[in-house]
Amino acid sequence: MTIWGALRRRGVLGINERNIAFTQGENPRHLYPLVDDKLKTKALCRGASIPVAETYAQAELHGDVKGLVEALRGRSDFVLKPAMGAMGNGILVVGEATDSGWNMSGGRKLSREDLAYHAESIISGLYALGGKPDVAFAEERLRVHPDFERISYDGVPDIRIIVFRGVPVLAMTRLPTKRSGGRANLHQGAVGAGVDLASGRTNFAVIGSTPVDLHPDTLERVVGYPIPDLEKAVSVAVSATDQTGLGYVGADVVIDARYGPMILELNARPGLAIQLANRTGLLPRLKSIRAGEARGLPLAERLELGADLARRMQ
Amino acid sequence: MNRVVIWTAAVLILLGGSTFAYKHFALGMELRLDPRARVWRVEMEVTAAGQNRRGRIELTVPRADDQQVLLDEQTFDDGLDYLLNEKLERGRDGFGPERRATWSGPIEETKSVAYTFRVHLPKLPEDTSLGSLGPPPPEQKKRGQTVAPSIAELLARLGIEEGDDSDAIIASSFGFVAHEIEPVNGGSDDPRIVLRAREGSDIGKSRLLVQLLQGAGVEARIATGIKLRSAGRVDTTRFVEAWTRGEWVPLMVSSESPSDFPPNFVVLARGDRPLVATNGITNAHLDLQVIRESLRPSELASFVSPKSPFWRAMSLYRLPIETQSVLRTLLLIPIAVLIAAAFRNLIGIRTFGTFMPILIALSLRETTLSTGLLLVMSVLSAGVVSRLLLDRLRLLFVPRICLLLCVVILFVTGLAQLGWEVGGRGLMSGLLFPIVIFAMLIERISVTTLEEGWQSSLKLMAGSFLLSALAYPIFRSEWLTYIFFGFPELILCVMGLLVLIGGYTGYRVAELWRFRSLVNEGASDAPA
Repeated sequence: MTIWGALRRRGVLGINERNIAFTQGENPRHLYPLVDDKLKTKALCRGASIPVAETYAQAELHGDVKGLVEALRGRSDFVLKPAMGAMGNGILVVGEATDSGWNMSGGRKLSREDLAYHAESIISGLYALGGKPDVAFAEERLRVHPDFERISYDGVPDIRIIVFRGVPVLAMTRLPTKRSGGRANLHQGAVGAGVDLASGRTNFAVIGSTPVDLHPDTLERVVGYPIPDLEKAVSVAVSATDQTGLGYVGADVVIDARYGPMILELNARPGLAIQLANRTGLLPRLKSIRAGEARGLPLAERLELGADLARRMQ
Repeated sequence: MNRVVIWTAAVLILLGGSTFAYKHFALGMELRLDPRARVWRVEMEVTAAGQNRRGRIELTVPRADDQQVLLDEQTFDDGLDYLLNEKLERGRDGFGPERRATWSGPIEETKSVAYTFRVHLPKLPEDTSLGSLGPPPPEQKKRGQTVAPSIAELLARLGIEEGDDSDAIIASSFGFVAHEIEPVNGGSDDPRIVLRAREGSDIGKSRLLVQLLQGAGVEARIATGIKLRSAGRVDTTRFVEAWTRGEWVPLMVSSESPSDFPPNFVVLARGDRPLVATNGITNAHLDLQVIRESLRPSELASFVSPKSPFWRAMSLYRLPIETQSVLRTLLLIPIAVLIAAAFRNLIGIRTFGTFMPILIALSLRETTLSTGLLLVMSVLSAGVVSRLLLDRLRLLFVPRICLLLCVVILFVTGLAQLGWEVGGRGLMSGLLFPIVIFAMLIERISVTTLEEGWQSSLKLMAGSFLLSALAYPIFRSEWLTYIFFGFPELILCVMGLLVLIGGYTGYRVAELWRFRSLVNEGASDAPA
């Protein structure tokens, strides 16, 4: 089949091969909880002095919800999340505190009861993988870096970096749009822009699988855009994955306006859309790393290896 | 693909395939069904509660004649002594030979004995001529004085006289009983009451017909049999046999005309008495199950009793019918999940839950696909609407699911009621719905709709229904049912294919579309 052959030639990684050769082949099952549970990931990062957002409060049992809401009373700008949520589901972004509750983005009001209900839903496992009981936690809401403001709409863009055996392989930035409801989720209509690890600039961008040049809402060019603090972001991402012991990880990094790059979460089954955003397949880079042995090398050398790979494969 | 994976798959497929081939070629087990072959297996099970003393259970069992050939008989004794009593000359009521299976012994608590047989009906359904159903009546009794006044009066009113042509007597007596007596479920069994009230049960009507015929000098008797169907529980049916032109003619009072008799019918007993008689026992209860084997008698023999004792021991055809029915469905599930696996991992269509569409197809196997899917969709939409309304109440997860369960049950109850009113029994089989699965499905659809939007939800729904529609014919296929029941080793082949799918690292069909934009690139920037 010609499409098949073309994808093979370009080294596009399919989901079956990702599952067998990378998520199963490189990631020991017993380490999954470290990345599936965002609270565990944060603890791991904090222990290694890798920057993560501050946790304000958490609730593990239904009885804890009252305490969680109390702890958040009067506090502005936080995010309520499920510790084991997938694909950004169940995340509530809360703005300024008011007398009766909070304001949310888009002018909607959020009462304390609303917040408690959402926390209850999270604890019940509504957003967790397999519907298992979950933990709700609130953390500081990160702020959009000024350099990103022109190319994102009503939300915080992040950078997804695929790290394979300690080497950064591909990166993309996910830019919220009106259609994605301010969320950095590609399947909901956010822009995915491939980031060249060598030059630090975006090199291509898609919405879904359609190539785009401009952000649909801000109408700014999203291709050739320099990513602030990319080098630091990649370094943070690789350090975080080093802590997990996993071989094939997607690290999500947010460049905060105040604190710089911070780990948002790690993913042991990172999606494949990054190939569309970079207009390139993952396999050649993954195979090249597999051929050598990078695991023992110091961080700086592995970062250089990633940049070098980006230059050679472009 | 991993070499171990390929070898594992090869071993499984070879193992299953060679066993299958051996059974077909060496043991002569047939692969094709013969829809004209008319063989059924019938199980008569008597459950009785004993009184901690000796007791006896007697069951009238069928005998072979030129209308029905008995292929094999089996009994299950439950620790009692078994005896088959064959009176070759005359039965108790003078209705020819009869066979009674007798179990006796100390009966404590509940005993369950069974008599199972396979019957071959050599006559094709389109052959409507009804031949002799047994030997002629023992003797022509003189009648006249014994005729009850009400019967005599009715005969006179119908213009029937003793000595008329027996066919004419049968036609007018049958016409009166079939058309002028209202059939009532649970009506009277007593012919006198039936005649007076002009309504009664089928038994009462049959008895009245026998009295009319006998009153006019035509030999007639009550008999008991069962209408055979493809599978399931059946009830006995009483009918009438009348002697005319040198043969016994069966008459069914519930049908339109005397020549209208159900095609697939096996006669169990003759004479107006219950099939089961007991002694020292309370609450004896008879259960009848049938299953159709679309095989000719000779082909069937290769499955039921293969020449080799090992394969005879392995034959599933020797199990009780109820177990067989369950296994016949169960053994189809592997092939259905094979499709589910191919759907997900080779094609890449997402569905709500991996097995939900399969379970839904399974639950629909009793209805037609369109009715079934319509039912499913109406239950789901009612559920999703309730779920979206419930969302405002902010309830906890488990009670919310339980509420949905109640909504589904109420809805299905309503449908069953509606189905009954409208007169279609088809809706009733909707009761097979796996209710809990529906509640979970409604929750998932609602959450997906709220989280990812209705387009995403509709896409998943379309994928799920497509998979259900693909799996549905599997559960309906008589041939697949027969093949997997006769050759369960084929499941090893299915497992081999599943291993292959599981080890497949190539692209899914959906990915060829998803990554299509990566195809039209200059080959120059593709790395070596």
